[in-house]
Amino acid sequence: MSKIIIYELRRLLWNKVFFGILVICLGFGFSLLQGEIIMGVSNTAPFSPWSFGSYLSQLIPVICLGELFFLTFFFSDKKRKVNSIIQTTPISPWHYALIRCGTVLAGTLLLAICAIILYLVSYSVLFGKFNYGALVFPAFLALFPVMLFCLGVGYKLGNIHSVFLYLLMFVVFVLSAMPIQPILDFSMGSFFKTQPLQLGILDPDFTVTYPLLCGRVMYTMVGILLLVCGRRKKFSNYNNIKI
Amino acid sequence: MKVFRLELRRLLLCWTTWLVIILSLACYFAGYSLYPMLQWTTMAVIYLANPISISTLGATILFSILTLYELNRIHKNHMDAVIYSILSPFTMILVLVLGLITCALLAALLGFLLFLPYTYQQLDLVFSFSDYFLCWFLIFFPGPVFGILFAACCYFITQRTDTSILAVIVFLIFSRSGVREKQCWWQWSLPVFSALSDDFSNTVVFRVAFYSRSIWLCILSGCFIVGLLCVRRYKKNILKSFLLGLRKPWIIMLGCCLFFLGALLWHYQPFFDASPSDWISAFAAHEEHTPLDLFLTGTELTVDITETTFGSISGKAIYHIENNSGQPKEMYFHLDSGYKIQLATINGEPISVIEDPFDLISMRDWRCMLPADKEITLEITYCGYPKMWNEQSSTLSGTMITQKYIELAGLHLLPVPQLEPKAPSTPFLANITLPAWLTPVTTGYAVKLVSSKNNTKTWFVSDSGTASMRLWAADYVKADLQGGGIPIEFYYSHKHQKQLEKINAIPAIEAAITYCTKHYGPRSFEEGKPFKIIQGTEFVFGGYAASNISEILEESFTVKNLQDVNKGASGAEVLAHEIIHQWWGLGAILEDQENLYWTSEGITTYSTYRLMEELYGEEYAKKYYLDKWDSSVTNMQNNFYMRHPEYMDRLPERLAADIRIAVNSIYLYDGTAQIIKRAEELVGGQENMDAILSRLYLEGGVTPPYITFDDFLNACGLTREDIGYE
Repeated sequence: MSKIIIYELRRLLWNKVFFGILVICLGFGFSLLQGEIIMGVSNTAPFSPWSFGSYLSQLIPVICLGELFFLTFFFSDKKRKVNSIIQTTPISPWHYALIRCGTVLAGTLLLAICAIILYLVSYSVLFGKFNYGALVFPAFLALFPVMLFCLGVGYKLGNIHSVFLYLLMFVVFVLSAMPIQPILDFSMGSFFKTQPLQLGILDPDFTVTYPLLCGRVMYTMVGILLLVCGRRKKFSNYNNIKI
Repeated sequence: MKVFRLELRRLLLCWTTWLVIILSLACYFAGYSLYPMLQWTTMAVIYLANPISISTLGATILFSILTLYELNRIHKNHMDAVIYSILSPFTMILVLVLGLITCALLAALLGFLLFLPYTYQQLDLVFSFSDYFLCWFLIFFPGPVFGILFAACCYFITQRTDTSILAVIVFLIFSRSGVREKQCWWQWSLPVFSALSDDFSNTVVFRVAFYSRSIWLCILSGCFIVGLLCVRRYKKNILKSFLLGLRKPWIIMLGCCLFFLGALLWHYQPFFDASPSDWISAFAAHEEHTPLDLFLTGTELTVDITETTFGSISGKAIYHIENNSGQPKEMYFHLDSGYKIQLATINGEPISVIEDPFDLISMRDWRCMLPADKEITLEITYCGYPKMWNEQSSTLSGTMITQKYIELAGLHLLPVPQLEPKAPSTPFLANITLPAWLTPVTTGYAVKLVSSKNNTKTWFVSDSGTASMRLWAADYVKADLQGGGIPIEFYYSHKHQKQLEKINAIPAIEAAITYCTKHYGPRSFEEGKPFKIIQGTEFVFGGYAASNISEILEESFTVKNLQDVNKGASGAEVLAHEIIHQWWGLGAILEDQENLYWTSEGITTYSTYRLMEELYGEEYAKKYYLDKWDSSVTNMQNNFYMRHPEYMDRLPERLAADIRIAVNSIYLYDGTAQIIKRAEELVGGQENMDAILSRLYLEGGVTPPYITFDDFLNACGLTREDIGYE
């Protein structure tokens, strides 16, 4: 099992596409850090959880795009052709799908971690030490639900046809750019920008609203449910497995 | 040729090609209302610039996708071996790319014909066929062509459609985000397109667009040609294919030459100066050299501005100077960064003039040594192309010489000597030759026609007590207005002649003049120099007031603006603001060495608010003025760097300068206006404040005509603490 995990991880991470997306992610991140974020979001410090969250929210489309690109590895026509060989191996499709999802999630997390490290290093050099612990919750809240959502929806759509993954990339960009209700706020971009002003105090602590929290739970649940449902269906139709 | 015809026919029979063409043109509709890109609201912006911008960006992406789809088609269907045994890959790719470019041309042609009737109907009087043509074939058409070239280049290198389309989108976003958003030459898909003028010239937009398109055509063609070498051949990898391609060295030489030509065009662009990004500090550090014992006793200018194709100027200025020092003296000039002094003579003898290599707000310093003679006649022959300030490269705002519109101020018209005029009557005489169809308006006395020949006219204009002049020239119509008993000349584009009665701007002008005359006192103008109100081009962005001139934006005259009766503080109110500057700024000058925010802008903003309150009521004035002041000042005070200035020092200089500029702007206008409003409440209301301001306007401060902040406080009987001034 560990061999398969290492193989899948190597295939995903030791790849020019991964490095390409990483370069884009860091380049875009650097551009944000030198532009809008360094000015401080909604009158907060550039190293506040709000500015950090705003930085991540703008990177979310790129990170999700990377995640969906990783998924295309598993659903391209070429990969489908070798499925019949893979199915003859003793590994269960359940476990194999789990490993693939895990590696995609690991690759996406790596992208996000690199972007976070870029933020921490850049601003620590510029402004000195600050409260790093306060950044954990906004990072978790901004990234984790959308990563799971994209993984679930992408996995489901990829099983139907790989073209849907590219359509989903477009949808991710639209969802991130559109002004949207807090409950559906995909990237949390408007939340990080408006909430500190709405709280009416200077340098407020990081707090979340109930609708936003519901939205994050909803995105997480949709992602997990689509992953679980997809596998159950395939398990019950073992002979028609596509992956 | 036969292969090209075959390939084009195949492309035109393919539904994907037509889908891309239709979608590209469909983007045009989005620009009307769904996603307008430009905020400036002339009719040409609404019905031409916005739709063409969106469709250009859309077509760039769509044609990139089509290119990748077509390039991948042969490979995907495993037909490479068969096709490449008949045609070389290079020929096949070139034919395909040429076919796609022809399809992009077809899209432009279809769009041009399809939207012509609607655009013509909407723009009506202000429709310009040449602008419409250039929008489609200079702005739109190169967008998809560059998308095709860039996408093909990415595909040659990666051999993957997904990665290539990602690269195109990322490059597009990269070029239009961050600091590059305001950098003109980065805009490869859609050139800088800040506005379109309805009534005057858009030549500057199209000149810059043509140059930008030339730069990117060279760069992307170079990349495309070099990328061709990466096309996989004989089932070899990228490196081996590249080495195989090197057997044709002319390909790589041509590619590199084109690429470097683009880079050279970029580096040596002629449109913008090289002012430092922290121009506020540079401006503060810039020394003025006005010797106390040199005086200007007269200026004679002969200037030719008839070369409007490229927009250059040539002229000769003769300065009569009095040297009271009895010693040789160094004298400085300010001159446009794009001009060169060809010849300088003193009393008929050639002298050398030295150019300072540093630009500052489209200006350069020149200097020469004057002899010890008492009476000196200095002649300077100069020529050049006026440059814009690089900070305004994203708005293309600045002086211009075009076929339909000329605007040249001070150092853009002639070298301005750093000398005080000897007396208020020191003559400034100018003979200005212009294209025959342009009517000049200047800050001087009335213009007189001297001669007319070969589609050019020479005008004589004079002024006194000055070393420079500001000139506008367009197809103006002049109207005489009345307001507050002052003679007013109103110059506007002939396109609006029939609409004049419908335009709200005229009541706004008269209301502003009547208001100021009634509340502050009459504004007197020199005899022969009536108050002139000029309709300026949209590219001025905000209006202008100086001497006896107020310039107003053309957006105040658009049909859209006239219909929008509930529009907030803009348009006609900017016009009112510029008119009020005739009282505050020109009639009385607010200046304080100890309080740099105390300028005429604050009191003019306050007066505009009062005027709007009188015209539209308290609720309107509160919403668009008082609330806006509160919001912007509070927001600025709450800014993290304002509260923690120690962090400002850690910022890169460019960002620190941006913050300082934003702070200056808010305190100059809204902050000072808010202070005056606070003082109004403390002195017992508007009537009392009007009486105070009227007295200050008529009598000035301690040192008239200047009114300092302390003069204002003393007149109000208040202290800094009373009004909460920090």
